[in-house]
Amino acid sequence: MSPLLWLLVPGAPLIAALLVWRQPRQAGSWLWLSCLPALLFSLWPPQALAISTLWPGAEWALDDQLGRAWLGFTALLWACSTRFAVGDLRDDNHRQRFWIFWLLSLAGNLQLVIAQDAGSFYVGFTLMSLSAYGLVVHLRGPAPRQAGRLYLQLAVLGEMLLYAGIMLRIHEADGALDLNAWQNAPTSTLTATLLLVGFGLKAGFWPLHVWLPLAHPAAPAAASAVLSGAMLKAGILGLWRFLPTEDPLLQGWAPVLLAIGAFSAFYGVLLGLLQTRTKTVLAYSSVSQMGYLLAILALAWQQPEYRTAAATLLAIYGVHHGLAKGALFMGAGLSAHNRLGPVHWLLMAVPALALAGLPLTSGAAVKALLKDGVDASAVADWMPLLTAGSLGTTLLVLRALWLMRASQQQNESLPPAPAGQMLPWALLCLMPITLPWLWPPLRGAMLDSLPLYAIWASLWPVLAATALAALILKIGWQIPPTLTRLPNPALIASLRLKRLLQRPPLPPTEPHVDSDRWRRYERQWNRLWQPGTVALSAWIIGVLLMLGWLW
Amino acid sequence: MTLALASLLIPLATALLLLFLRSRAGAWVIIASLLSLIVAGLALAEVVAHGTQTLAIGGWDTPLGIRFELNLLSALLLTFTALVHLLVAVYAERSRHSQTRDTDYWPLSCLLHGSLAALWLSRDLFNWYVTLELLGLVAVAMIIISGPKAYGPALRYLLLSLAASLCYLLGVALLYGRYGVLDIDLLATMIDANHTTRLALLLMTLGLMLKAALWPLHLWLPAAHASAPTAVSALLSALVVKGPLFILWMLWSRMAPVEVAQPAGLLFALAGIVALLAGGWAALRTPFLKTLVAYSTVAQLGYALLALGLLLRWQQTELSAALWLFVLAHGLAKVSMFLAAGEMQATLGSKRVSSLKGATQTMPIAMFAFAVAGGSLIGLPPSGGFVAKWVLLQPLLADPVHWPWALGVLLGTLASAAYVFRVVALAFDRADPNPPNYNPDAFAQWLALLPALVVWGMALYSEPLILWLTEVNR
Amino acid sequence: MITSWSSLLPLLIVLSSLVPGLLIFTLREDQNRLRVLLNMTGVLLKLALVGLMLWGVDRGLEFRFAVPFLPGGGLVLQGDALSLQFVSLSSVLWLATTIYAIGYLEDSPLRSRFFGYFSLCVSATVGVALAGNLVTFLLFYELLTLTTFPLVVHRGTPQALRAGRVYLTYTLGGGALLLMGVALLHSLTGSPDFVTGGYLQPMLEAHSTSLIVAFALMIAGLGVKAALLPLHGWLPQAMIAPAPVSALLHAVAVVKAGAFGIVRVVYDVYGVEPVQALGLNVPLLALTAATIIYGSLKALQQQELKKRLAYSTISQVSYITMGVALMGPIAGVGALAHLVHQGLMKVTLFYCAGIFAETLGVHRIREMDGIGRRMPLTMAAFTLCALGMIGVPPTAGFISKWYLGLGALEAGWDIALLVLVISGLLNAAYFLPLIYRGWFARPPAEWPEERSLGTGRPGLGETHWMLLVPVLFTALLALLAGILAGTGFSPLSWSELIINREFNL
Repeated sequence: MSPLLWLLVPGAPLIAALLVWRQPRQAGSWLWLSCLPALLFSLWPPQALAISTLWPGAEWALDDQLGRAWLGFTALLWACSTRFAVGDLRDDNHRQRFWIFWLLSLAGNLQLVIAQDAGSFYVGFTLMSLSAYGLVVHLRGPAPRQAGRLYLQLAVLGEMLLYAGIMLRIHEADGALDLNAWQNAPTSTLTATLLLVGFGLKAGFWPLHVWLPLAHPAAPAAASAVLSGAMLKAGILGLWRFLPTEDPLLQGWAPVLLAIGAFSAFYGVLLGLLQTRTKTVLAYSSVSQMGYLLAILALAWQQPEYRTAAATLLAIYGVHHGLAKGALFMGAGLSAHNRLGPVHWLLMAVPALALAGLPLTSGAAVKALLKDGVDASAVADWMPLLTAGSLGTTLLVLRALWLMRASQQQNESLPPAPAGQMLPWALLCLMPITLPWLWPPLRGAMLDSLPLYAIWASLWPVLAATALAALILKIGWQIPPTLTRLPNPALIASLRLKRLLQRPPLPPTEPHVDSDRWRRYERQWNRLWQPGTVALSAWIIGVLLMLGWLW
Repeated sequence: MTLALASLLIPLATALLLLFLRSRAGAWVIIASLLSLIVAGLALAEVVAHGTQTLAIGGWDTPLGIRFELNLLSALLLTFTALVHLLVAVYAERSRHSQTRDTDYWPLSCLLHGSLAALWLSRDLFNWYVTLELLGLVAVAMIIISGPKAYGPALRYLLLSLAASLCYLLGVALLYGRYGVLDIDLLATMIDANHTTRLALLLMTLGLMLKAALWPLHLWLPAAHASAPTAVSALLSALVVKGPLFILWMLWSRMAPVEVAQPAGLLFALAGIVALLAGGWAALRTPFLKTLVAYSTVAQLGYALLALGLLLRWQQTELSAALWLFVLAHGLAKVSMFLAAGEMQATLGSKRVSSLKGATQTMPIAMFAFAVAGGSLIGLPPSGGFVAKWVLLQPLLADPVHWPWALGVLLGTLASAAYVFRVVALAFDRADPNPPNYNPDAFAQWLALLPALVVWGMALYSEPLILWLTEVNR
Repeated sequence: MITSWSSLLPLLIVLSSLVPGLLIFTLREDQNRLRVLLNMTGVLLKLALVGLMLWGVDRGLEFRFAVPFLPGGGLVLQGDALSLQFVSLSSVLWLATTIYAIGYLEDSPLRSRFFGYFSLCVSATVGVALAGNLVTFLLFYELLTLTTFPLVVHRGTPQALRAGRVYLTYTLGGGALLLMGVALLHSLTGSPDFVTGGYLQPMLEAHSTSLIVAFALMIAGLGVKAALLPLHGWLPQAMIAPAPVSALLHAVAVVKAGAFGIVRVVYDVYGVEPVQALGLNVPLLALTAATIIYGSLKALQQQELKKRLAYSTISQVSYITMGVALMGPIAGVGALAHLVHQGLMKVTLFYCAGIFAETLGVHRIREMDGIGRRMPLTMAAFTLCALGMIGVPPTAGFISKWYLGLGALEAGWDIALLVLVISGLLNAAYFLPLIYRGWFARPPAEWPEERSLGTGRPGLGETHWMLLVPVLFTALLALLAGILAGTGFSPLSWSELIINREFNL
């Protein structure tokens, strides 16, 4: 296939954006088609495209499994969410604005996946990151505004750190812009820190997650789905692509990063359990899941020989979590606005339990691979943590499901869900159980997790968590109210920063001149010359003559 | 040489003619100036072709006779004088605000022209005294034309001018008593640095400085130039003060012994810097338009004084080129400025600078002329003033020891920019424009613009001009 | 001898705006069609001539026009790659700005005067660009001051006059300093033509003090127009001028003349190595870094749209100087590309500010709430260029920042990268709130002073078409300069060509 077809990947959403501008009313239902090129190319990628007319070094291609998987799930999730969003936006005055930000964000997200050079990646990343602000603040009100503010502040900070990181990285790689060339260029502490923080702010693992639990719930459901499902992953992909494979520095950092990942996984669960809103719970679940992804990266850096396996795991984990989380966020949106029947709840349970790692789902496959990875690594004795994590995740998704249920019960008179929203949602919901049969790498992993001991290993934490949840429900234990309203220092800091920037305490620079006083001096000076022209001139001549005589 | 003499005699003859013939005086003067200009131009061409020429009047040779010398500079100054006279005469004839139409202005201006021409050509101390005296008296008479309010300034000018003449004459007498000759080239060969020479030079210098209104003896100038009729102001500022300067330059650069000239040069240069700053400041602060222009003359003469002083100090003849470029550029620019200022002052009905509010709308051409001429005074490229300043700066900057002088030039530039744009900026005030009392006279305005354009055009011929004027001293 | 067309071409380029300008002065106020005709003829003629010259320079032809002026330095107009970068920018933006100005000044008084000076101003700018030696440069640099002053005070209000006086004080002072510097160099070597790599190498040993002083004087003189730190005071004041003038001042004519002059002095008079040998790049770098940060901080403090843009200019123009001061080829590419990029973006921003003020009476930032719903196209252009200023890809600003950042590292000045990052953050801090207000805040019930230009409906009729078209045009160019940076005709490629010649790469 012609390499020029790659232009369609970011191009299709941009063309769609033009369409939205001209025909805001009719275009909506068809916008999901703009993800189609990306989806197709993830299956049948064209040849690499080097575009000399774009920014320097621009090259778009997909030559690894990770990239293809990433493009595939990103496109699929965006397509489903786009279709899903149509329903939510039917009566929205700001429909056009939403779509434009949406499509720009989509174009950026797709482009960064196919980017083979730093410039293209950065272009896509920034486009996605900044346009997503429009999605976060789309629903009006103080909460989205505050969440958006924090999101934007950190996104811009991340952009700048990333910019510095990329510059340093290009310098380290002797001017090479090709991401493949970067894999072998050693990095320095500063560069690695900048990139880790820059991408970390997007990926949202602890402690860079502060914006995430605020922004994701604030956005419309479809936007939350892509924010959590697709955009967070861009940060992980960036770290994977930008930092070298074998580097003593990263090897040394790996234990710390692993610890951060692990902490993030439990932190997300703990905080998530305390939340009272479905989407916040899901957002914290994302924090927790991003911890796992960071851990995988750290494992790969620690043991370069594990890298191939880690790439596969990362691909599968990305697909699994992206689609499942997307489905859950959409489900949360549905449950808040529409009446759900038993079939719906059954569908909803699929991604939820897949996240928990139920056997026969993509979740179990992912967990099995991750265990293999940890098992083979230097931190094999951390294994119990994985089990505990699985338990925690189960509790978290159960809490989410329970909250959805509760919101249904509070509101009796909800309309049934429209088909335009049901179909894409159902498609996503079914992915965790259908994809393992369709996609060979995932199929292999799932089949590996099918031995009885493995099934038991992944099943018992789920069961235990379910039992625990049932117990808590039974005794009617409530979360203490103080814990549900923990103060958020990040929000306060964000507000302070905004105020500081609005009225920066800079000293005024206008110099003060006392013109009256100077005028007085001038008058006195002028008075000196009062005696008259002739007399003064005569005096001057006389004095000069005297002086001349002496000379 | 005959051509140069013709250029001198034509206005003199016209002056005599006009004593009898009072009607159509303006037309006669214009024709005479034009003729004088043409012959002066021919004389210039002749000098360029054949070099310096001398004439002993009546066939008597020096030291007995009177010697006229026509070199490049004299020819240039002759042409310049005739050109300025022509422009001013046309203005005086055509403008309804010139206050000179049916007055004694016409014979007087011809007399002025003639005496200046004689001054440029003379090389004799006593002859110069005669021309100076004549110049001074004619100038006073011309100031009085504008009526009783000018009597005071004119009287002061007269007194000081007479005193200056006396000083000068005393110096001449001292020198004559000592050396017995008056011709400057002869004197130059005989003179030595004794007490008499010093005193004579001091006396003559003081007299000339007073006449040329060089700082600190400039005090009479602003009032006198400001109160004169517009055409007269233009002539006084552009030409009359340059006469004594010419003599001063001749005395010091050709005649004075080096050991006297070098310390005196330092004083001249310092006086020049002070003149630049003091004149600039006064022009910046004065509330009256013509006084501003007059003070600007004081400041601009500072450049000439600075060039003269450094020329003496370092004995660098290139600096005479700077001096005379300043004189030419300043003369043309000042004609333009005074004509524009007078025209605006009369049309807008107030002497104050503040009456120029909105003048870019009401009198655009006059204001433009003022600004363009001002640009040359500031030394903005590509104008005559710029070329002059450039030539002055070159030796100043070549050696780091001389840089402090360049600082003086810089400050002078800034000062002149300040007072020129003080007026120009005000003229752009559209919020509160001052309506004109009369219908603005387009012809007079264009006439005011013409010399300003000439001075900017000078820049195009700057390379030959600089080369000529550098050769003047060799 | 001046016979062949190639030696006349630089002169013709200058005359193509000078002559229409002078003719326009003579027109009466009501001769509207003729004035527009003259304007547009000049604009298009200049564009055609510049195109011709671009074609020629790309093929290695020489364009040199010379007449004698001062001993040791004639009046030389020369078309080389560097001058063409600036000439092309000014002629393209002149086209846009002329159209904009015709729309902007419709039915306002004194248009003949305005357009006359406007054309003269462009002639002076083009002269600055084409100047082949320092004397010629100085000449046009001063003429630029004189021709822009009437434009700054065009409104004739007391504030405009005050701004004009401040402007003159600074620029004439700067001009005097530049004159001193040029005269100093001239007294050493005369004023030969600009050559790549400079012509002062032989003087380095004997006259190092003079060279340092001359450099300081010239940078101070040029720094006034380029708004380097202690000399920037006129720029925020000058924004009182009508919007097309502000646009031209900030994007093309004045500040760029200063920045361009610094490029010339460093590359073609002193040469990179002598500047480093004299140790002059370090203070220059420090100055630019300070200016970048200071300008951004002050911009943050402003509550008026045009003032904020003005301080942003101070910061952004110093990017150019910083790229030059870094002394490396990559940074040089960034600097020269930014010369054009900043022009395109800033001109758009000022156009937009003008449109907001003219159409809706919006002057202050707080009044911009919800303006994106009333004027989506204008606001989109504004957003695009504001993001470009921050350096957000894929706009033009991103490309310059990319090269400047790489250049800083290549030259070993990692600290400059930090400056760029901080400036980027501050840029975001003062531009993003505007974008937020424009798109997301609730529009007021009534705009401060709405005028009926255009149909009043969002879209192509949101304002007068002559105001809107230039905005869209320049915004599109700013976007394309970033997206299509790799093409042969982009500012980036042209900058690379210049730098390759400059550094003999």
